[in-house]
Amino acid sequence: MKHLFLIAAGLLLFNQVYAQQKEGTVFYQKVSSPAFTLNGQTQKMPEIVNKYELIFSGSKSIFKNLPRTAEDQKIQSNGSTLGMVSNNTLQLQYYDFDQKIQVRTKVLGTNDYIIEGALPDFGWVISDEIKNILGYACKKATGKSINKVLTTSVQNRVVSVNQKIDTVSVTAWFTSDITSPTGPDKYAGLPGLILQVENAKGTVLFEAVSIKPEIKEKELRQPAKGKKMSTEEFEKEEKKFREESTKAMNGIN
Amino acid sequence: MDDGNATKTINITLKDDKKNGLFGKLNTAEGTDGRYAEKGNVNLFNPGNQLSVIGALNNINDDVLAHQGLTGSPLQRSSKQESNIPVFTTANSILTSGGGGANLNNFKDEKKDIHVDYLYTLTSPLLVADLHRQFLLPDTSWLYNQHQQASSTVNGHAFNFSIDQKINDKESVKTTASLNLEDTRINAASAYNTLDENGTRANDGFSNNNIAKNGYRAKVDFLYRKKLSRPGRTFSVALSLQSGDLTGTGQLSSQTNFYRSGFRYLTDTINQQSGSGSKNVGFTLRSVYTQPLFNSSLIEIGVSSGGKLNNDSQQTYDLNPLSGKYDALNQLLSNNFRSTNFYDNADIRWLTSGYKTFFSIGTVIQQTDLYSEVLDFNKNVLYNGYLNLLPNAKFKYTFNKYKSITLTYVTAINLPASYQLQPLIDNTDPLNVIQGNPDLKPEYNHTLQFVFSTSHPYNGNSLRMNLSFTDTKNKIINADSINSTGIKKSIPVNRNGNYNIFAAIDASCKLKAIKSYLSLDVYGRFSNNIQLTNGIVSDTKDLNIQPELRLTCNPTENLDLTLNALVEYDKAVYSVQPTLSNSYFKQQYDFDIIDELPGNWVVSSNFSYIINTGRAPGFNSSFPLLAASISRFILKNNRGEVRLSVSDALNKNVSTIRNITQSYIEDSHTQVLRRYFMLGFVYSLTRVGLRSTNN
Repeated sequence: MKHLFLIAAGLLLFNQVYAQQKEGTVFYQKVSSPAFTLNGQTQKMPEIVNKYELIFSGSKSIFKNLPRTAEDQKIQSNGSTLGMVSNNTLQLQYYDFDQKIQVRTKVLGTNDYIIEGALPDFGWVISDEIKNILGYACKKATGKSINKVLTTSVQNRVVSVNQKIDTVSVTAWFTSDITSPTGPDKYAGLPGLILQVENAKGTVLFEAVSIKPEIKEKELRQPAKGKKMSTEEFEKEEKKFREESTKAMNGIN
Repeated sequence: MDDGNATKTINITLKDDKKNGLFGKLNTAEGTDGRYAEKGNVNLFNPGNQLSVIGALNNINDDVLAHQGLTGSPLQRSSKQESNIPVFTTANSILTSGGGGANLNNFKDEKKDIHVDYLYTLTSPLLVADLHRQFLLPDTSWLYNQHQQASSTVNGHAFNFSIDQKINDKESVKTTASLNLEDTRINAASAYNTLDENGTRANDGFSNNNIAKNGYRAKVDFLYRKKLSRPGRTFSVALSLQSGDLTGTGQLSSQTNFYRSGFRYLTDTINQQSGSGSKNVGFTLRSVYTQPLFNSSLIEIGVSSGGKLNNDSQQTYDLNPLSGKYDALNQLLSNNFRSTNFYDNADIRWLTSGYKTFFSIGTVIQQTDLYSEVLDFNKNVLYNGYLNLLPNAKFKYTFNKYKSITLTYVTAINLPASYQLQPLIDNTDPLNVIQGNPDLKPEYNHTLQFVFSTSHPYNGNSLRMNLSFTDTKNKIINADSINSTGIKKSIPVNRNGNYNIFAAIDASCKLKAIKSYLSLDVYGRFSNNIQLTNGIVSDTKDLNIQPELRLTCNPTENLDLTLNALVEYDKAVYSVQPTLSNSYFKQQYDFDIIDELPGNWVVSSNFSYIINTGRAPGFNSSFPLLAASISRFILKNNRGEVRLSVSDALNKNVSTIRNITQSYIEDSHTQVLRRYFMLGFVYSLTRVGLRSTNN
């Protein structure tokens, strides 16, 4: 009888620990190894590590980039710190799945903007492949993501900036042990938390490095600092900014 | 996170025939008055390699290689004998300069970056000057006049090599080596006199000084860097070895006559030959460890150790009237001086940053041990040990990508030079005798700097302000004493109370309506300098302000106009002789025009009017300077250009320089280039050509 009681207590505890997580904080990281290729020769640049934090609870989530640490920023020469790379700006990505909205913050020149739009549709197709990430069983899903690519080109001493809309394929690994439909950056809409995102070539775009169940409630709110606009209005604003900057780059006339 | 869902790429598209390519430019020009200017550069590249070759030679005051940042610092002065040799600058001399060299970069191997370069330079200035000095003394004032003719020829060779190797993902090693060789010849002849405040002659004379010296400086550096297993932890070690040697010979002959009440009572004749040598060898070893602390801060700890051995010697021989040879050793002017310096530093720094802030604070603890001895004669080893704490701090707030504010505090020490400690008497200028002081302490500088900068992404408006304050404790100044015959003796001593303030404001805005840019740059400087003359402490307060206003217009695509107004105001107040306090003005007004005419012709003209006031009588000037050129693009693709130009068309150029030191106000006229014409040709090695399609 005593044994049965202990087993029941143990099972309850066990269940508590593995109960479906409805809220928490995830830390993601992205390691970029930029390189540029000129004349067929590839020159590698020093690695940049970007760190992010995602807070989710129920149907809301907020994703932000963490400030560059002093270590990431410093440039070394002869073993002593020469200088610092500039800080990165705070950028927020907020989801409210009940109201079905996506709210992002953007900076253009010296102004802050808040862009509100509908939830993006990635057209996720879930496969049976399973991978273990941070102790969670994750399923694979492939979808399509719309990316804006800005190309700056110089021809005959005239600078021009062009924007191209590209549809690329992405792979997301999500776990149904955590039912929040959110993920890093804009990636969301799966029946579980996305822990890793890769591009078509297999390069990791975001990977979760740790999860904890506690959240900072105060931070999980819709961004309020900046001028509010819709996605279409902001695109017009962005185009105007690009045109003015290019004109300035090419001289007074 | 990138810009939401946009990524940026920079696309450089090279045409097919440019992947293995060459580009460059060749210039040649000949002119009247024996002027010439030749210049050329060629760049070759293929996958993994890049080679550049450069050459230049001209006698029109254009130090092409120095402007490109290719020339480094000259070898250290060999002895105090040089402290009385004139300093040649572009403002006071006519310069013939040139040289040539090549540099090669190899980055074929992803793990190895190799760089090799060699440069030869020739620098030959010619200085002809009339100068006038007014000495400042508590009770009286001397006037010193000098006519000087001096020239120098310096031949230098510089070799550099470096290889940066990536051993693996976490470790790398970088090796750098450099060798500089230099050969210098200097000739200086001068005639001088000194008058007292009544105009009565106190002394006069002439002096001829010839110096030849040559030497080398070599340096090797090794740097090893490693990223430790835990992210944020790094370790590095750097070892640096250097050595140098400079030997010289000199010949000095001078004769100075001393007068009392108009009668000559003494003639001092100097005929000397001297030899000097300066050798040094040293090393520095430094190690740094960094460790992350909390979430976004870092701690950096370093230790360094170094040592340097210097040996300076000078032997001076007087002309022996009995033998007719230079074999009479002048013991007062001969010395063999050795100094050994050891440095041990430990430094620690804490850095932290957020989205908009950056803060760092740290300090260096430095122990310096200087051992100096006078060899051959009375052997006494002087020991000077200094322990210094050098704190530093920095704070930066970034409002956004275009606006930021920075506050910095740094400290530094300046050790006395070995010739300032050496108790040898230097009399190459018989009226200015210099002696060293073995009891000198190092100078300690505190500097506080504030920078504010804001700009707009595309409307051309920007503002930048820079303000800094430096206080020097124990500044090494010369304590002067001038006797009744006009001979000045100087000895360096430490003194507090010297500080200076520097301010710069740069603002610009676009005036779209008139298709122009307007900019205002103001530089200001205020310094307080302490002097010791004949045992009396005094100070000089010097204020210098230079506002400059410029308007650049582009009325049409082919026309460029620039209007510039520059005013320099300098005011010096002497506590020792307030009546000598003075101010001077310089004004310069410029009007430049570049016009592209049809048929591939370009005309340009620069007109300046310069006004100098407030100098000693006879040293004020106002004159116009007019330069003009007409050129035409020739050959297919505008690959060539023929240009006819004139410099100082009105033949009015004059150089008047005011130089204020702690003990005198000096005005000088120097010989400068006047009117000359030049006919030149430029050729571009690439098909792109020389002409830009828009302004």
